[in-house]
This record gives sequence, C-alpha cells and structure tokens, in this order.
Amino acid sequence: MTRQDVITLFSSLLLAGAIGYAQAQEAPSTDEEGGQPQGITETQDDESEQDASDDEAQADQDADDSEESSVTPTGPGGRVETGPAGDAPDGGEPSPPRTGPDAWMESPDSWATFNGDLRAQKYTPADQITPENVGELEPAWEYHTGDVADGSDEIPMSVWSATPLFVNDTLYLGTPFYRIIALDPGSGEEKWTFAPEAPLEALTQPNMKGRGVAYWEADEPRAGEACEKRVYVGTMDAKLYGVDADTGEPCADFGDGGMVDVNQWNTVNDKWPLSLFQPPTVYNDTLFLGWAGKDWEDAVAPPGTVFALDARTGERKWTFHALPEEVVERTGTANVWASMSLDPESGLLYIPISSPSPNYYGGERTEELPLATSVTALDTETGEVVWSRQLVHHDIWDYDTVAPPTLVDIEKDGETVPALVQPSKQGFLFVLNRETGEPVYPIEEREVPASDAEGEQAAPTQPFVDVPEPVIPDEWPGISKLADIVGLGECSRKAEGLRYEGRFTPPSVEGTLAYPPTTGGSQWGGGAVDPESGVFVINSNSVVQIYRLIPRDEYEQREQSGETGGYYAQGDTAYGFQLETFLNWAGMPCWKPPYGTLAAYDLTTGERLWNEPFGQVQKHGFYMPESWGSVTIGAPVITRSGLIFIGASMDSRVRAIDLESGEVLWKHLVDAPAVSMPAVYTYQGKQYVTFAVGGNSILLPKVSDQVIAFALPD
Amino acid sequence: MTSKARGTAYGAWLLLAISAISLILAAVATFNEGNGIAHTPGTYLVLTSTALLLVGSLLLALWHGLPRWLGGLLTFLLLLDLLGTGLAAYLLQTEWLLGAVGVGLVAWLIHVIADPATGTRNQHKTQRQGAAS
Repeated sequence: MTRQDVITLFSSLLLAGAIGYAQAQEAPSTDEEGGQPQGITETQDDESEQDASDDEAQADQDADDSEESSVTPTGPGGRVETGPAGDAPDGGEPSPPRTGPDAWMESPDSWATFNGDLRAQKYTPADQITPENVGELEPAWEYHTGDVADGSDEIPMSVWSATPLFVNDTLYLGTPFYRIIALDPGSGEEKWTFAPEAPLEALTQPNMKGRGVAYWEADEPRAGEACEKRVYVGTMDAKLYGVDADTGEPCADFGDGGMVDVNQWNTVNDKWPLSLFQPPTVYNDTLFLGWAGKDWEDAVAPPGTVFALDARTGERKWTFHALPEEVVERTGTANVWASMSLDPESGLLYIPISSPSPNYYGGERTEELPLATSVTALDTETGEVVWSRQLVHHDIWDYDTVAPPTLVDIEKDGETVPALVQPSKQGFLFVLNRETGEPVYPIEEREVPASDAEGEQAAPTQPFVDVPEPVIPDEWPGISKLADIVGLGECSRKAEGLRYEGRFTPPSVEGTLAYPPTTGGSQWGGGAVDPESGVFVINSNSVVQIYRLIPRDEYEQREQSGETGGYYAQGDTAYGFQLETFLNWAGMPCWKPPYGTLAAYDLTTGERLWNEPFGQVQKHGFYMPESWGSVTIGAPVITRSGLIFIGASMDSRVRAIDLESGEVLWKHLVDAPAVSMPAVYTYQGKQYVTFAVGGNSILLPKVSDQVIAFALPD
Repeated sequence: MTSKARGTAYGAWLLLAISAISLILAAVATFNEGNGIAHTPGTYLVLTSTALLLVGSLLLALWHGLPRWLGGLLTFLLLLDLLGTGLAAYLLQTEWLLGAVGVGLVAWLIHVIADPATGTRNQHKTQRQGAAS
C-alpha cells in the first residue's frame, strides 16, 4: 500500500465517518433546512420546506377570517389569495406600497440582507482587503452567543447558518435558539439582546436551526416613534417576532404585541408548524415569508405557500399557493424554505420552490404540478405568477430548488441581458432571462429512464443544461479502488445490484444509485457573482447515495422490528423508502473523490474558468489531502478587489480565495465548520469579514456559537 | 568498567529526549482548545503513541540487560511507533510534532548504526573482551 493509499484510506474514513454520522442523526437528508433524511449533507432542508398552506383549507380559513379575501388562479397551477385574510393583527393601517430599492439596503458599506442584497449577488464593492494584503488578515474581535447545543442534553443539536447583518451601524445576529443579538460592528461588544418565548424542541427538524434575522426601516420614519427600524426573527413553532432595531424591545404594532403566529394559516396539518428558519425577504414595506416543514415522511403535508406581510403591522397582504387546490389531499409541500431574491427595480420576487411530498414516491401525485421544483417569479404587489420554469418534472429525487437565484445583467452577444442564475441540486446552472424566464443558455428536454415501481409514472423527459458546465460530472465518479479493497469487494458488489442509468434514474425496489442525490449538487447557499465581470462562483458536493423503495408490507415489518435508521414512510403510498449513503462496511465512501469543489464561471460565455477541490475532509481530527476536497455547506462572497471569502468546509477553516485563479490565499481556523455565508462590510472606514461559526452535523459533529470578525491590522 | 567499555548510547538518549518532547507536544495538541483537533480521537492516538515511544526509548536507554532478541524487537517497535506517530501527526497537521518525530527517526538511525550494541549476548562478549585485555 502506498503512502497515498494510506492517506486515501484515512480520508475515506473521515468522510465516511461524517456521512455515517449524518445518517445516524436520522435527520433527514440533506437539505439543510429540510431535514430530510439525509446522508450527508446538507441538510436537509428538504424537509423543511414544507409548504404550508393548503389551498382549500386556507381558503376556508380565509373566508372565516375575512370576507374581503379572494382566491385567484394564477399562472401554471398557482393560486393567490389577496386581501387581509387571516387574523389581522392590531396596529394601524397597512403601509402604502412603495417602489424602488430601499436606500438603507443599497449602501455599499452594508450587508443588510441574508444574501448581502436582494439580488442575492453576495457581492460587496469593498476593496480594502485585496489579494495582495489578504495574508495579513487577522481576527479583529470575537463573540460567543451562548446559544449552542451538541445534542447531549434535552436541547437538540444546533445548526447555525445565520449570515450576520450589518446595517444601522449595528451588527445583528439571529441564533438557533431564536434570540436576536445586536453588536457593535467594530468591537463586537453587545448592545442588546432579545429572547422570544419559544420552545427549544425539535418540532419539524432534527436540530435547532437558524439562518438569522431580517431588517427593515421605514422610508419616512415618524419622529420620536419606536420601531421605525426593526429586526425580525422566526421560530420553529412558526412565530415571527419584530423588535425595535435600536433597543430590542418588541414592536407593539406588529402582530400581537410584536409577534405574528404564522401557523394560524396552517390549516392542513396540525402535526407540524410552518417553521421559520429563513429570515423573511424585505422589500419596501413588505415581508415575504417561506417556511420549512417535514416533507420526507408523509404524503399529505402542508402545501407550499408564500406569505406577504405588512412589515409594520404583520397583516397578511397575500398568500401564494404553489399547488393546485385539488391535489392537497394527496400531496403537499412544494414550499419555499430557502432564501429568495428580488429585483428592486422591477418588483419581481424570485422564489425557489421545493419538491412535493412525499419526496421519493409520486404514485399518488401523478398529475402535473408545474410549480413544484421550479424557480418562479411573482409580482410583489399581488403575488401572482409572472413566469415559472420547472426544473424537475414529477420530482421523485428530492431535488428541491434550494438556493435563491442570483440576479445579474449579462453582456452577451453585444446586448445586456437581464438574467438570473438558478443553481440546482441536479448540478445544473439554469441561466434565464429574469424578465421572461426564457433560457439564456439552452435547456434541453432529454429522455430519462422510466420507473419500474408500481403506480409510479416518472416523467419521460427532464431538463438538461450543458452550458454552463454542470457543477458535478454527468456520470457518477465510479468505484474507489481503495474502498473496494478495504471492503473486500463490497463496493463493487453493491454497485452491481443497483440500478443506474444516469441522472434522473428513478428510485427502485432493487436500489438506485443516486447521483446527485438529495444532498446535491448545489445546496441552499447558492452562488455569488461579480456584477462587473460577470464571474459566478459556487461551491458544490459530490456525494453518492442509494435510493431504495420498500413495498409497504415489508416496510411495516421492518418498522415493527425496530429498523428505523434511514427509513422514511412516504405516507400511505405503495412503498416506504430507505436512504443510504454508498459506503463500505468500514464507513468509507465507495466513490472517488473529490467530494466537493469550488468553481468559477464566466456568465458572458458560459465557460467554466476553474474548478478546484475545496476544503478538506476532517474526521477524528485527521485532515485528508486538499485534492480530495470536502462536502460543503455554506456559500461564497465576492469582493470588488477580486477575493472570494467562504467557510463551508468540514475542516473548520475559513478561506480567502483568488477570484481569478481559485488559489487559496489565506485561511484561518475557527471553532467549527462555518456553514453560514460571511458578511463583508465597512465600518468607520475599515473593512470587516465576519463569520457566524455554527457547525452542522451533516459535516461534522462539532458545533459552536462563535462569531468572528477579521480585518487588516491598523 | 563495563558501561564505559560499551560506550554511550547517544542515539537512544536522543530518542528518549525526543520522545519526551513529542509527548509534551501531543499533550498540547490534545488539550489545547481551539486548535481544530483538541480532544479528537486522533490526538488521543498520538498522545498514546508518544507515551509508548517514551516508555520504549526509556527501556532502550536505561535497560542494558535486555536479551538481544528483545532489544531488536523493541527497536523495531519503536520504528513502527515513530512512523505511525509521524503519519498521524501529518494527518493532524501538527507540524511541530511531525518535526519532532522526524528528529526521532534520525535518533533511531543513530541508535541502530552508531550506538554500542545492546543485548545480553553482546554484553557478555564485551565482558569477555574486557577480561582478555
């Protein structure tokens, strides 16, 4: 055995351990939010995403709540309820609509939203830190929230993916325990904290999750009045809190004394609330809310809804329904659990819609559901569908659209194209005209394999994209020789018994080799873009899992015998489901590395500029070779000076990377994997790069409550 | 004056010193919070392996009455320990420990090549030679 083989073995064990650990969590899969059963990453968020409202039930409730509400079909299968449906909170008249971007959000010094701005570009014009001096970067301050759990006691393990916000001369944090913390951005000193009364229980997810807070301020503030600037945070039990951004005191005119119970609009499924992990998207005086749920288990789950609320009163302006009313007794979700993007000039809201429930068997939902697993543009004023493009037909792979599309104007063929880039779990980058939804680069419908499962009707074709080149290869990486040797041929034997006919091979009774699986491809972080050069950067995962349908009788027998790990009921359908990461007996991945990369694309040509293994696998303290990369959760940020800042990797390091070459220029150890995207801001003339270091059990059983800011020395 | 006749086992003593240093470095890696590897199985592994290295090199340096076969076995096991610890240190990215192990390998080579032979057979031979002279 060569030295490289030994290193390979250790690496494999590390990654395998991480994967195995993630599986052992039984958390659902990969999407972070969701929480689906996952094998590795990402977290599932799949789960999450359950959508919420059932049209029918909602319509009933709306009727009860308000005679003024109305339900209007819109677009390909969607519906919108307008009017003050639901429990109209007390507190004043709804704000009149405004148009155009908010000035506070457009400041070049701020990081005012989850993605930096509404366009989800994750870009800052800050250029004080450059490729030449980034090596001098050092910690400026550090803060610990105290809100962290490793799962060893009554509180479930925390997963903290919150991007800090810098606005109003304050750094705002939202914790996985739903607290809001305001810090001095230059020193990290605490200004105030707010703690809602929320149960720290795993209601819809296996972990305590948080992606932070949202900020809003009045366009024409009332002098001397409180709450003209606000911070919002959501909870797993579907409460949305609004507090004064200067004091942390609840805003009395927002909902019921500062809180809106979003679960009041969940009329379909009383088992799980419409969990609010992703902070709302704020545009002028409106909050746009998606939610997370639990879609990997049951067929009937809350159907996907997006709510528009008045930022001042919490009153509901409209509700968008992604699923037709006639199917919600058989399926649900197709919700929006990831962040959204918005074009402040046109007022179009772009929502990444997840797959319908249950995730892996669609025999009870064989009709077309055109808004499921799509990117959809809504009119922010009305909630009506402007255009929608389905990215997976009849999704039976849990290929939720999990990341916000990145909005950017592309110079192509001598013309400026208003475009968006939609990453996907399938590994495709869909580049569309954001005004029409038409492809900028070709999308081709290709025939895909048929399902052999009883009652299942897999779509005969699926959309494929060749340009830009997918973030992961077309074919699965193949058997790792070392893992096969260590497993005494186990990997090869397993693979021979699995069905694999390329992307979109349907789940099967004999077992399907799924590549990419529910972990993606790309995950919820999405990509970043330099709007000046049109260079788009995105991190990705290369993971192989096994999808296996289990006939209902056999599934129930297994269930009665106590087999639970990796099993998902799929409701009252013909099959249960087992999700397994493709490992040998020793826990080593059966597929070849790298396990994760970071890639850059020139959007003006569609050409991939570079694609480098990113991060390092770490397990039991051991680091694997950099050429193996790491499974990643998180997202990059780009600066005008040509730097990429990103955490995301298993090895608990944050890095600065040369945008031009992909070379790592600086890295720093932090307390756990930094699975949030960093916030880059300028305060009192000094540029800071701040990471919330939360960890994620999908990567490593290591959690933290660390917030750390880096800056150049004075 | 047997010990004088045997000469000083510089390699063994150097290895002993390096083992002690390695144990300290491993302990720092294991218990120093915030280094990215503290309290991981990997650090406990190197803590154990460096402790064994210390015990082994102590035996090598101080126990002159070792049977020859046992001395050879001990020397071989110390080599395995050094190599294993070195690999672990490399994978843990603990540069100082890796460097110490590297010096330890040099010490081991010095011991094998230059140290006066150890083991009871050689000791008897030395005693006979001493008597003859």
